[in-house]
Amino acid sequence: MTALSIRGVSKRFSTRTGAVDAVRDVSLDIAHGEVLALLGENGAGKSTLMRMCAGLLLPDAGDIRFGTELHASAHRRTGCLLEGSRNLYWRLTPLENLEYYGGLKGLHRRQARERAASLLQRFGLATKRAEPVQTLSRGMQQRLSVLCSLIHEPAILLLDEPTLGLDHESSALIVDLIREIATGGVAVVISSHQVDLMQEIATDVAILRRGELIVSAPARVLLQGRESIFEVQVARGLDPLQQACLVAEFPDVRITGRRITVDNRTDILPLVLARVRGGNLVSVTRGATTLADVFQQTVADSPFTPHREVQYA
Amino acid sequence: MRDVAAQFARLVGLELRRSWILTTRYRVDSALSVGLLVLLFYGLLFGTRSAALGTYALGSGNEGLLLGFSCWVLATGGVSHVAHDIEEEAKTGTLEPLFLGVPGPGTVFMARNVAAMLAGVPVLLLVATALALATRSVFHVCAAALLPLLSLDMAASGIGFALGALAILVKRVRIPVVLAQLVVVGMLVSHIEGPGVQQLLAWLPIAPALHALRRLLLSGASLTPGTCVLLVANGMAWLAIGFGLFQLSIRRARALGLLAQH
Repeated sequence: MTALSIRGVSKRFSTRTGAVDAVRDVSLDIAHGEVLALLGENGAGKSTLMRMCAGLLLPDAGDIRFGTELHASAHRRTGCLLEGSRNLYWRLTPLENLEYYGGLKGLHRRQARERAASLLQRFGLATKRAEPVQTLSRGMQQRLSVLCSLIHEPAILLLDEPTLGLDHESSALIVDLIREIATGGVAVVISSHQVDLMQEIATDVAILRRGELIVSAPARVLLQGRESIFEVQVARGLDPLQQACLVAEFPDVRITGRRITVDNRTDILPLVLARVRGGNLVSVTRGATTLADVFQQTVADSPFTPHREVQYA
Repeated sequence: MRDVAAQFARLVGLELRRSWILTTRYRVDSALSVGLLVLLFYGLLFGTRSAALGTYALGSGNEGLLLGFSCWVLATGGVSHVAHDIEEEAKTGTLEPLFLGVPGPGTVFMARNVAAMLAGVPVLLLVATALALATRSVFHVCAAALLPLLSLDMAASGIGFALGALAILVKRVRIPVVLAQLVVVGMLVSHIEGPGVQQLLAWLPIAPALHALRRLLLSGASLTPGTCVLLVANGMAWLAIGFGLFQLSIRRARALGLLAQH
């Protein structure tokens, strides 16, 4: 059953120089228990789409439904973590924050207290329950933010950059937490720049570019047929001219810093290696295609369509 | 209807708890705030007294002092609470989650206003006790004064919501809030009489409440049914106008994407 249905949603913002289409005619569906990773570069429209799903921003066109409800009336069933860990009262303790947000979501005090205690216990914050939030580490604050969005046991969870600014260990903890939440049947929409982490949990992937949805598919389908790649490591990054020549000559080649990846094409690998000067070559390995590779290639392949600028008279 | 009232009462309780936790956690800060409020009031009171050659708008007795202080706390707090809260919450990043709650932001800020008013009662009692001990006298504040005070609080809250509407859209409204407080303080310490003035003041926020309080204190006149209706109508009308503007600004902020700004 569809938990969240986004149909033809668009949003345009006015700026001093004209109007910018932040999201253009996006349609998506997500079912209970699925994790949809919303990927895109900065300014792709991920946060705008998330805010529209949360009801913080009104779409100019299209509609967003939670099951059969329109978004405006769905706050009871939706949990939302906005970018960073800024949805906490820093002078209150984790328990007090959870109780407060539980109350805002319509829970009785005792109910909120019990759920808060259980969440803190389950996700390793029980010992910090009475410490003011400002004394907790960044990772703990972020975990608490996610818990605040879970206090009312939502059916749909919207997470905007939940691992922003976290170290690897804290990010991994958040990923574990999200996986556990989704296993319980919650539909999760998550936006992040950490594509490698998204690969660990995403069942579905949607890639936005300049407000347009350019890919929407199950993660396994996206990775299918691209099981392996060649990975060429070089000692020094290629200069911009070398990079441009290489990509122009071999469209299947992607360059990220000192890493050059070539899709499973044994025919072009020797040619690529020949272009990389001998002394610069460190290693050639065969590895699995990652979601990051797919994302990078998809974004690179999609035709560049500049923002439609509309000048006001 | 009963459910709505119960939910609102629960929300007020939630806000009172939050306020109590913060007050008791930062005791010194809270005590200093109350002290500063009292000092400001006395400074203004004696300044006005000397400027007005010994007369004071609400009378110079202890009852007048206490009611004057109550009006000062309710009016200056009422006009500033919502805007101040929005400015602070936007700065710390907790504003948007309030919009994700089941009751909606309008109801949350209304509950916060009611909670702030209720939280002010112990402060008033404390000040009254201190005043009684200092002057070794007993207060006789009549219950009829409660209606003008309520009307004053509702009208002040209406202005507060209008300023809150502005805060939702532009976030920084310190100067308009201070200006509104100055106007309210000016109304508290001044007393204008003249033909047709009362008819004009009846349409303004807070003014009918202050007029009724003056009549109660200075001439001992009781509230007529007409005055009671005027007080309720004035308070409710200004609250409705302010709250309506607040809801409109929320809709506009949602349309323009202004909620995330600070």
